Formats: sequence, C-alpha cells, structure tokens
Amino acid sequence: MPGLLEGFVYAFSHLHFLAIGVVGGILVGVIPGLSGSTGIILMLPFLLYVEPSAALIMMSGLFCGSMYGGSISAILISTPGTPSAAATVLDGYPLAKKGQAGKALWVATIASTAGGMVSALCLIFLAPQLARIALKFGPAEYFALMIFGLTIMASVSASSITKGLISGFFGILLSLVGIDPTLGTERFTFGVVRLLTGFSMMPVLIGVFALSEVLLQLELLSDGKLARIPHTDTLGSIVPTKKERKGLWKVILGSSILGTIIGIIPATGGAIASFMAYNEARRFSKEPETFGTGNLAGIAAPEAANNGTTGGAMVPLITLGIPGDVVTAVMLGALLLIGVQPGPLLFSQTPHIVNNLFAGFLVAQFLILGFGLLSIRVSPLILKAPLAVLFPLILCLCLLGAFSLGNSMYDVGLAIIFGAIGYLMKKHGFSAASLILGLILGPIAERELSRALILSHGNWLTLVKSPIAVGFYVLALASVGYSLAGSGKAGKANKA
Amino acid sequence: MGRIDIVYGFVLGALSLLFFVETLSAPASRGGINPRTFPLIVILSLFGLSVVLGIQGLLRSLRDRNPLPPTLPRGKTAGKLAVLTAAGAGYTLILEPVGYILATPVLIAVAMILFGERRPIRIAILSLTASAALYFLFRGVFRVPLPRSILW
Repeated sequence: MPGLLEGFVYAFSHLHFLAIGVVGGILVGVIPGLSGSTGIILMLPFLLYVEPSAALIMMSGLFCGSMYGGSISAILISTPGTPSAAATVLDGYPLAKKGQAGKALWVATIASTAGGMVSALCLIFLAPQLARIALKFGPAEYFALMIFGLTIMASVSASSITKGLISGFFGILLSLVGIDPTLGTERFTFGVVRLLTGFSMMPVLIGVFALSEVLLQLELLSDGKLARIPHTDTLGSIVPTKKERKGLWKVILGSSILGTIIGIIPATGGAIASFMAYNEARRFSKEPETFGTGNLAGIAAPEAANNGTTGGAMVPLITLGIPGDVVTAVMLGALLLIGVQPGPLLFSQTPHIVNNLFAGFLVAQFLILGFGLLSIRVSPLILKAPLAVLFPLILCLCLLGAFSLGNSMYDVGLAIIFGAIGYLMKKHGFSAASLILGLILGPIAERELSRALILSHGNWLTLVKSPIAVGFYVLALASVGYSLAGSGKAGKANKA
Repeated sequence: MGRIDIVYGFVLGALSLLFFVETLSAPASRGGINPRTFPLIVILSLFGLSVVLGIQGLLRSLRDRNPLPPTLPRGKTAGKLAVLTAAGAGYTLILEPVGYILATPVLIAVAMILFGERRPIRIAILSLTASAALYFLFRGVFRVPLPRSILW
C-alpha cells in the first residue's frame, strides 16, 4: 500500500503526461479510422524520450481515453470512432437526432468513468495475485503460456481463423530473421547484412498499424466512401433530469463489472463486452421496447462495459506478458521498445513502475471525467477536422517516428514496406495484430523452448510434465476451438 | 475473396519453401539443441496453413457463381495509392541528401493534394506550418538529429 501511495504522488507529479495520453486518446477515439493502437504508434517517438513509468501511464491514459472517445462520434455522427463504441450508436444517435446529444454525451462520460474505475480497482487488486502465481513458472510453463498467447492470434483475427494463424506465423517467421539467440548463428538473412539485426519492432508497428491506415483512408476517400456525414450541432440540455437518471447507476455498475470480467479474458475486448452489456441492460429493463430509440441505459451499458475492459485487459498484459486484444498487443510492443518487460518479474524487480501504473490508471479515469465533461460543448468541432490535413500529418509523423529510433533511413523504408504489407493484410482479412503478436511472442517461445530442452537434456516430455503447462495447452486448444465454433456459426449465418 | 486467397496461399507457400530450404543450411544439432527445430515448426505450420487457405479459396471461388467486387483498388484510386507510396519512398531517398526542411513540405503538400485539398495557398501555408511544427517537436524537444538541408 505505501508503494501505491508513492504511485499516486508520481501520477500527480506527472499529471501532464497522463493528460496528454487521455486527451490524445480521446482525439484518436473520436476520429473514425483511428484507434487506440494507432494512437500508441503515433505517440511512440515521444514515449522513447520519457522515463518508462511516464510512458506507461501515458499509454494507459491513451488506451482509456480512446475507448471513451469512440462514443463521441458514435453519438454525434452515428459512426463509432472505435469498434467498441458500435453498440453506443444504437441509442446514442437516435437521442442525438432528437436534439439531446448533450445528454447522451453526459451519460457516456459518466458511464465510461465508472467502468474505468471498476476496472482500475480490479487491476490494482488482482494483478499482484496473478503475478505471484506466475513467479513460480519455469521454462516449460512459459513455453506453454506463449503457445496459449499465440493461439489468441487466431481469435483476434478479423475474418477467419486460418488467416489469423497465418498472420501470426508470418510474424514469428519475421522474428526468426537475424541471429539465432541460442547458438548465435546467422539465419534467414539471405546475404543481406542489414537483416543481421532482424526487423526492428518500431518500423513494423508503424507500418502495419498506422501507415496502412493512411492508405486505407485514402482509398475510402477516393472511392467516395468517406463522405462526411452531417453531424448534429444541437446538444440540448446536458445533464439528464433526476427522473431520467433513476436506475441508471445499477446499469452502470453491472455493466462495469461485466466489462471488467470480459476484459480479463484474452481475445475478447470492448466490442464484445459492450454488446453483451447492451443486451443485458435491455433484458433487465422495464421498458425494453424503448431501446434503440434513445434510451439512456442503452448508452450507459455499452460505455461502462467497454471502458471496464481496459483494466481487465491490462491484467494479463502486465502479469504474464500476454496481450488480450489489439491495443494491448501494440502496447506490449511499445513497452518492449521503452525497455519494460511485462511479466511477474516486473512486480518483484521494478514494483515502482507497477504502482505508478496502478495509480496512473485510476487518476486517468478522473481526467476522462474532467476532459469528457469539458469537451461535450466542443466535441462537434473535433469532427470537423479536415482529413486533407489530418492524414498527411499522420503520414509525416509516422515516417519521422520510424526515423527517430535509430536515425536511420533504412527504418523509414522498412516502415513504408510494412505499410504496404499492412494495407494488403487489412484489405484481405489478415490480422495485423496477430502479426505483431507473432513477432513479439515468437522469440520468447523459442527462448523458453530452448531453455526447457537444455535443462532436460533434450527430453521433449518436459514440456508436458507440469500441470500448469498442461493447463495452458488445454486453454490454447479451447481458444482455437472457440474460434472455430465462432467462425462456423458466422459461416452458417452468411449462407443463410 | 476466393481468388485472392488462392494467390495468397500460393505466395505464402512459396515463401515457406524458400525459408525451409534456407533452414536446412543451418548448423545441425549441437549439445542437445538444434537451431533448426523451432524454425521448422513455424515454417511447416505456415506451409500447411497456406495450403489450407489455397484450398478454402478454391472452394469458395467454385461455390460463388456471382462475380465478387474487386478486392484490389483500380483506376484513379489505385493511382492515388501508388503516388502516395511512391511519395513516401521518394521521401526516404531524398531526405538525407536534400534535408528535412526541403523534403518534408513537399511530401505533406503531395499528400494533401491526394487527400482532396485543392486550394494552393492553403496547401502552401499548411505544409510549411506543419513541417515547422514537426521540426520543432523532433529537433527542438526530442533532440532527434533530422537530416540538415543542402541550403546550409
């Protein structure tokens, strides 16, 4: 607990970093086409120049801010800024059309804050317990954990399990290029000296996530699919009446808890949580027929749930080094770049970083509340940002970001190549997040496999001797099975 | 998307084979550790999945009689994407010899035109202002040594 208090002192003394993260997150969340993962990529060059704790709280602020920001465009222009805000459109936009957008934004802000708070408390109390268990892991358990992590890539895939797995294995293949970590021999360099150091994380991240998005947005614009939707400028009264607020807290609390639980489960995320919470709120409502026409509970439930997933998703990330969704996968890459290795050792070796994160995460929720309420009046203006300025700026920021890591034009070129690869991947249903997961987890899996085999003198059975390892293999199979069942259902639905 | 999946299956399969051949040139087992083991698991898995993707694509293209919409951009859109990618590649090539100050406003201006901006004064002002702001951020705040201009 004293450590946590020190964390709060740190968070308040670095409030400007947290504020930049939250405001940046709200901005990328509001703008359709940008997301929390793109926001982290754009912030990467700056993260490299601040201390790890400050970078971590900035990223967590951005994560939470982007989750909230998605609701603003969902309510005002019926276009969710992030997939997690898709359920918010159902009641948010109808309310905005009635001239009550202000009320919808107020409820979204309060619900998002509450969801974030519940998830922050879960993070603070659950993560240390899980890390304590993870400290007992040996190489065999870690290898099994990595296998489980790699199967998540199948689940985070957008269109098909095959493409998800291919993206992940392609990422692992890229991670193999360079020097073999065990024996130090050169591999897959094809005589190119530059490839001896392998593919740096930064240009790959910038390329597949941010530059590919610039290309996709240009395509949408050119095809006339990015036409501006006339948004509502009429906010109406902002604070709902006492009668309208009645019973809303129950929906918010229940959805926050639901979102937090879903967030902990890898490969789920805000979109699933928000739709589940929306359905539950409708099921328990006394007037379910009003859902879809501008019911405030229909805004509160998805917003509390999707923000609830943020803290939950951070639990496996910082305790096990396993990301649960796309944003935390990018965050994992960013953490490695700034020299922070997530996992149980983070808790024992650098507890101050963990405490700073916990405190920063909680304080970020208050900033969301403050900035959220303040931005209600100006949020329609954010949506007027001209795309002809915004995306060229992002393009330039990406290229300079790739350059800034090693002052190397080679990295800039690499980012452009991966931008084109990321564009093709996204366009044809492959998963950029799976590629990054493969690139990050592949080398760890290889290292732990080598360690396990060295310790057991080459006995492969060592990998299945531990019950914990077997448990992870079962979870991995369940994860793949769940994805297969899901894709089977989707296939039947498409045929119908 | 059936046909494009066949293409991807073929390309990824060929890539796997290329890496497979390269793996065989890695040194054999040393002290109980074989540097080929993990890469082989990955490469064979990728090859197997590529075959599955190709078959799935083939079945889908046989099943879907109606022609699907094109999965790759065409015409004007393809041209714009090619110009933007070429502008990025060109920027990579000229940034060091020409310098940040001259190269960056040109890149931003080209991108602005591609994104639909047509007013020349606005393009000039915004590309110069944005370049200056980014220069201040990277050079002034983060001390990133951006390539200097040939002008000085």
